[in-house]
Amino acid sequence: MSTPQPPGSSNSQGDDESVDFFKSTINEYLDNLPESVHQQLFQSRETCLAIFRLLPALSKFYIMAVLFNETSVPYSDLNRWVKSNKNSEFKGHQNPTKIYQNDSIKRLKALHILKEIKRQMIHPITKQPTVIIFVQLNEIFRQSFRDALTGFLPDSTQDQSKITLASSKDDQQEKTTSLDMMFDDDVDNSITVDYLDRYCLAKWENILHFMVGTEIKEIPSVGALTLLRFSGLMELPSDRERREALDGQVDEDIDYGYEDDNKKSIHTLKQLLITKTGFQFLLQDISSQIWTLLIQYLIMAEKLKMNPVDVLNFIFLLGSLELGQGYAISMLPQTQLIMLDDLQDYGLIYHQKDSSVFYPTRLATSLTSESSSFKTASAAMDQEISQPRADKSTNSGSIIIETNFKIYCYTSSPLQIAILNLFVHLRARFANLVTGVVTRESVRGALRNGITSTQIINYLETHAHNGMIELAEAEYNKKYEFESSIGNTTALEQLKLEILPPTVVDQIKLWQLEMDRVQAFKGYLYKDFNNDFEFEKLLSYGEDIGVIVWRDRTKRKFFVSQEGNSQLIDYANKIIRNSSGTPRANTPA
Amino acid sequence: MDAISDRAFTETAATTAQNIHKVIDETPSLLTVILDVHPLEWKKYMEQNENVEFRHVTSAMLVMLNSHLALNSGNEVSVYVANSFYHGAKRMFPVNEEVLAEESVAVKKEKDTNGSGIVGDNDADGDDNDGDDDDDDELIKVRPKTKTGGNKKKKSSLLKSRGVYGQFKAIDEKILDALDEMYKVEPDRLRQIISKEKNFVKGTMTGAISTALTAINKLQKSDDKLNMKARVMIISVSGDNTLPYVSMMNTIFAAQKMKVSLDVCKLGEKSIFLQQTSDATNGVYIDIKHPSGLIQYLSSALFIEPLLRPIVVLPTNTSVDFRASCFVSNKVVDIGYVCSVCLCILSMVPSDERCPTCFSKFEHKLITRMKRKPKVLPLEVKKKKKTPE
Repeated sequence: MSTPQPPGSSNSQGDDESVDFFKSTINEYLDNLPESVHQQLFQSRETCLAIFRLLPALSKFYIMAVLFNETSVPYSDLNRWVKSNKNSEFKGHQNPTKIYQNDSIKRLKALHILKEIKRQMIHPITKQPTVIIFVQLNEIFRQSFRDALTGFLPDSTQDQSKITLASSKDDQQEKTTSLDMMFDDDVDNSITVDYLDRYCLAKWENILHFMVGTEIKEIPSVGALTLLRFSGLMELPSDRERREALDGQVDEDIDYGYEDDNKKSIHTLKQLLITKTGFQFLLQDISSQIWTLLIQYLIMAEKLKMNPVDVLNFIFLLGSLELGQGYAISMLPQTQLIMLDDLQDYGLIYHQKDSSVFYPTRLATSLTSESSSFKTASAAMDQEISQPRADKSTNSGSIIIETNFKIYCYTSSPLQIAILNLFVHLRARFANLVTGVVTRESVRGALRNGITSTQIINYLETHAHNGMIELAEAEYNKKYEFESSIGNTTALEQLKLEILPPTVVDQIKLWQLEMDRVQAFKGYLYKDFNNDFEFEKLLSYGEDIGVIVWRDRTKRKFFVSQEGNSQLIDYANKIIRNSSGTPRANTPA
Repeated sequence: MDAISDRAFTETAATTAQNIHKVIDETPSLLTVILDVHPLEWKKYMEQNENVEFRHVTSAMLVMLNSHLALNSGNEVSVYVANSFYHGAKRMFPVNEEVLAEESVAVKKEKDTNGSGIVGDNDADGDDNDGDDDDDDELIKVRPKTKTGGNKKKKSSLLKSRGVYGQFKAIDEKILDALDEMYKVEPDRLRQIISKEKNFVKGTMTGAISTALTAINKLQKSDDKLNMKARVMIISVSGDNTLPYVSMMNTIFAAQKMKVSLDVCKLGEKSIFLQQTSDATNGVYIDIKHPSGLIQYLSSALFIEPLLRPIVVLPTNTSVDFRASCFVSNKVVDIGYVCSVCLCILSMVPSDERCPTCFSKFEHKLITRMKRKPKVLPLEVKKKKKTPE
């Protein structure tokens, strides 16, 4: 499928998955692009590099192994390079290595980086023709990625610049061949890395603050707000009314956001209210938040008939730019110029009006980094910014939670306090510390807002204080040594790092289960059957196709889900035609 | 009752496994390359393999460094050179003022520890002029590369505007500049050596490894890079006789303790010590038979991340020669003598009857008894025959 579902709309599948849809983000989006788009993407070297970085480590290893190898490699070799599980360190687990390997190869195939080729070969001994599967690296990818890695070679400097020119001509961006156009020497010296960091963080936090509903001086721009609305993270009061009126389609509340009157004035947009997904969004770490917005931006861009290849290339290009360096905008094609303004609204880019230079901020340059390294980057960012905030704030660990549900958070960031306030009953606030208690009421309040227990737990885990993590690790090691010394493999299998006290984790989950005591299904009740035969026949058919929600054999009743109903009716009609004059019961519930 | 203590919500094993793999995917790592630039050994090697040039090796190395940086944005690289004994081991990248000062101290220390290293027997028989000429040849071969490197530097500040591989370029340039710098100083110093000594000079591979290990240790102990994994890749041309045995073994044990893998890419003749090195540290040892395809070796067999090692089959030789070398003659020994004080290995008893390493005096009586040729003693044979009966 070329157009992936907007993440917000897949909400109905269960709350656990909603945690994942923020995380999988860009990978999923890329996987689902058609091959032709992939081919176009691979022409850009920076995109190749960025895609490469996003792959699992084993996939990277596979690519590197075949990158400089002209001939194709038998598929079985890919397996042979990996140890069978017996020798591996991870005893006890099912076979994580195998799963991991499969995933790695699957990703490569989904991205069309590895191609399978079947070839007839004659077996050297038996002389029987056998089909052997070979894998081959995508030629365009191979070329671009090789160029990326070897681009510095003195011998190929000439060729390389030619390639650069050629490829940029493809993008119709190269009218004057002077490459120095893009590098601006008269850079404004006042724009330092420090300044950029402060700028982007202010922009980004401003958006988050707006979402939480804190009083802020300057509300985000129309572009940012429109995107927030489009992505379903926020909604207008009128949207909410409409949704509530529709009622049934609670979960398909996303798509109308942009299509109708997309030119809402800033005054209207000011009234935006946070939605369920918006709350969930707040609990993510910063890099997945950015990616979530960017993916939404991509989807929105597609609707606006922008070329996704251009948009993606620009995003990946940003990831490989240098922080604190000014770049001339004259090189950029039209699409990317439009993006420039939009991305500025999110704090990814600093660009003064009428200036010919733009600066990527740290948010942009660390786009293609992994989340863990980003964490350190943003921690460094916090330290650099001389604001009266706690030295380890929003992005690094600062939360301590005890087994008695008391919670301590070393922060002075109003944003983090606001987020905590979503599910914690806050008690006291000090200069760099907030204390509170996780109570049934506070958690239920969060659950009612659509936040799930897993999200709360994940948030607490990712923001846990270092002391908590150290304690958990020590505990884990102790248990591991003990269990392995007595050879208890089943216990080893279940062993996991418990950063949060298990009582708290279990209790939060129990509170969620409490909310789900009544589950509602839409569907149809079948009753008043004429005879047992009809009942049994319909029921067994319904069970076969898996649409029966509830059944009662003694009263000859069953309940069919909404989706499966039409199929069952067709079947029932068939029976009626075969033996005329039978049941008549099809009452909507 | 056990059921009560069970977790109410058990996650499946798969999720924990995924976590492990997530860690593999996301942990940044450090790649340290140690490049052997021992001029005399290079000369020997190039005489044997005519189509190989030094710059082929450096360019392959730079591609490898770039690939490593491409893996993960948190990844880091560092490059050391192990030169002849008189030039010392040096860090080429990262260059740092602070480190420079430290380094000079380190180099000094190294010289102190390696003090006995010079002893190496001067059995090589080429005449001095010959060696000189050849090194000049090598220089000529290297120069054009560095010159183009210089040209490129100017151009690349323009190319930088593309900004694409700013990181790669900056690093590559620095390394090339450092190598260039080294080759400027090289010929004079080399002449000095050759006028003094013969064609055989000890190398500083162990010095380079130990400085690399100290740097890794420092990095891993620092706050922000706490979990940084590291591995070392050695590109070596030198033979075993240039390696001081004791310090080599010490570095191996240090690396083993730090859990740092030492990979060896061996050009030229086999090296028993380096084989032992990689074997002891879970590294990869590869004899490069086709130097023209070096890049393929470097990007596949020698490109296994530390965290991938438990998963991937290491393409290394299983049969490793564990023999040690004689401390005096540098020959590999099958059966020899061992000093009872310092465990120094000897192929023959030194004439002054002192251990060459710890200088403890051997007992003269014992030595004479050891050196005694076996004789047939008929009486004792009889006695021995009687006792079992």
